[in-house]
Amino acid sequence: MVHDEVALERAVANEGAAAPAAGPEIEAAVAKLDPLQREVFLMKYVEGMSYEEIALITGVGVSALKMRVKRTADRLREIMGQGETA
Amino acid sequence: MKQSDEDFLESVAKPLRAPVRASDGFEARVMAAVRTPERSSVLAWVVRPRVLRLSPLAGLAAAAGIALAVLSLDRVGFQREQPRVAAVPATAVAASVDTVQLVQFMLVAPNAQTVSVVGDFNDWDPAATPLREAAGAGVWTITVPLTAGRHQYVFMVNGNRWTPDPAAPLAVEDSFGMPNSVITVGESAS
Repeated sequence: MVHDEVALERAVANEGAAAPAAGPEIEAAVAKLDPLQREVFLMKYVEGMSYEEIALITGVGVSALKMRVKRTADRLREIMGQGETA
Repeated sequence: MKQSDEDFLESVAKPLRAPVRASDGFEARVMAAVRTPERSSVLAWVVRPRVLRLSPLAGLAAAAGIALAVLSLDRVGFQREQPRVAAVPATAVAASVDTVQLVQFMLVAPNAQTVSVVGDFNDWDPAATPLREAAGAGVWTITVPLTAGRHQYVFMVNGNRWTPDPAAPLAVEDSFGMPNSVITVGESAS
């Protein structure tokens, strides 16, 4: 692991933060996505962008993005359902 | 019944967005850990700087499209909680047939309420290009189309504090008593 990654995780773990931070399972699952799937998932669901905005930035059409999102959901279910986070 | 894809992805994304409220010192430690964003794998895939190459025609269309998308959203009274991608005046790009590239600006500022990028590409207007916060931990980003060449810019935090980009070189010339950050956009994607 990179030094800063350790420092960050230690900082989070030691705080006992009031609001739940993203669990390691979720981060590991998202990290396992294909980069294009991860990108659209982050833009749409974490950054809250619209499909139109994502289409302009990525150059990918809206219907292709929607299909990609659907495949991302399937893939995440597969990764998380099978505990495939090691 | 199987949860819908949207609900499922929302449930996965929600903790990635949630700001973590913690005691003093936490933010300092997070800042220390993420100061050089490339080295934090937790956030690297959210904020990896990316320059996307567009052909000149696609670039013009995209720049105009961004403006149009914002205008059309305004016309239907679209309500958003977060600032939308700021419209870059289409004329700024249409004046040249040079390659346009999309550049992602990023600032780690956990204590900020607002962050905007202010530069020669938006007439130094602090209100023109707000950044949006992503994935908690105070990481602010925005993607902006820029023409090839050298651009100067700074960040404005909370509407009253200027800060240059810690991750970018500074301009040699000193404007308004503080050096600006410089980004050089090449003809081809790096």
